[in-house]
Amino acid sequence: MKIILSLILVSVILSYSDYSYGDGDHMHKEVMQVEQNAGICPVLHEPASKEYSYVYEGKTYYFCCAMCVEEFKKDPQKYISKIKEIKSEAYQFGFSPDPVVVKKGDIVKLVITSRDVTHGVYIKEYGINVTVTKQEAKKIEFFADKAGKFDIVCSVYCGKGHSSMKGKLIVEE
Amino acid sequence: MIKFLKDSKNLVIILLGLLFAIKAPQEGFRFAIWVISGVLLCSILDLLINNRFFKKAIFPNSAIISGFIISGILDYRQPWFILAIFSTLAILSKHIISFKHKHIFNPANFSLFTATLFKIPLTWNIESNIFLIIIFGLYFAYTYRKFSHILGFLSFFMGLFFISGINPLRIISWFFLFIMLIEPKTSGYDRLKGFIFGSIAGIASFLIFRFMPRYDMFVSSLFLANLFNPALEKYLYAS
Repeated sequence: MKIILSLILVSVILSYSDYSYGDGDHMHKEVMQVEQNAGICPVLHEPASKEYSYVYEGKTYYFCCAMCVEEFKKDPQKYISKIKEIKSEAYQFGFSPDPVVVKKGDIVKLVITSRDVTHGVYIKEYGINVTVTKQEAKKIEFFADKAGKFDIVCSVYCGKGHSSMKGKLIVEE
Repeated sequence: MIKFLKDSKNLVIILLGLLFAIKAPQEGFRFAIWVISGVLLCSILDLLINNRFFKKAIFPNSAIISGFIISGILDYRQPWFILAIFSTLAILSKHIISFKHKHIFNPANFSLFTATLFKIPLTWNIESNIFLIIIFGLYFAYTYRKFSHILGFLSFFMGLFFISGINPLRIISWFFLFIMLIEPKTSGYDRLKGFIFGSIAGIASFLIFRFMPRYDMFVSSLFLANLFNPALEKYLYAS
């Protein structure tokens, strides 16, 4: 009986473990999609697709639909000014720059690298949880739709100062 | 009082209480309530299960330790139901998953391993003072006779990280080594088994860190070592 119960317990856990736990909202899945795909549409702030793109001043922008491309063409600066690209570095035991300051309504593109060992970047309120190894640069994109001060914590054990490895994301009104 | 201190489990509780007291002022009110809730939940549940199903009235010192470890390692910014689920899972795993009337998995670690599968961050806040951990830890290793476990773990962990160009001393968790790895009931006895147990955990830690860093290397490696333990018991005794 105990063996059967044990097997059931372990198999239930393993079968559900593919589910990505976020903040209980939709943002986490979006962020994960965005990481692999074309980012966030600067017009509607929905996940963009590589199907809809437009090159402006040598840079390619991706959109969620054809209508957004047309909307963007009318006044590109209006939308570009809302995109904030920030290079961030994780190290034992902190983040640089700290704090990361953006405005509510910005599309934030965080390009994260690691100076030393593997780190995690976790922002609960935005459902972001990514791992960044020493050799890679990870791109995270999200729409800053909640104002406030949010903790950025390391989610991968990185040494004795792991628990104090924190940064701040400040989203101003 | 001396009788109380002679029981190593009570000393572990004192150490965990000290580590919690050091960290609580830095992390704030939510962390304090989070840990206290975890400890209470695990203890009450263990008391109830022992009383209801096994007709035993035992002071739940193991469950208090599990509660401290789970709530001290899980990120306290998570919703409260996360703490409730993983505390409950730890105690249930202790009573359900057993081999030859002994539980297979370190209960707190089983629960934290499940949390890492679900990508819930482990922030290891309880690891607040490594000097205390090492001093108490050496005493625990001596009392429980677990130096071979530590030696097995350190040999491979240090060696493999050193070869891969990472200073192992900058990445090792002393809390894991001295509190979790040498948990008496699930880590096996005698020197050879202890060394093999520690080696499995050491090798697995490195491989997980290198190839699957999104899973916590320590809790995952201890889960794997626990999984191998019944086989070690069976075949090493047989041989």
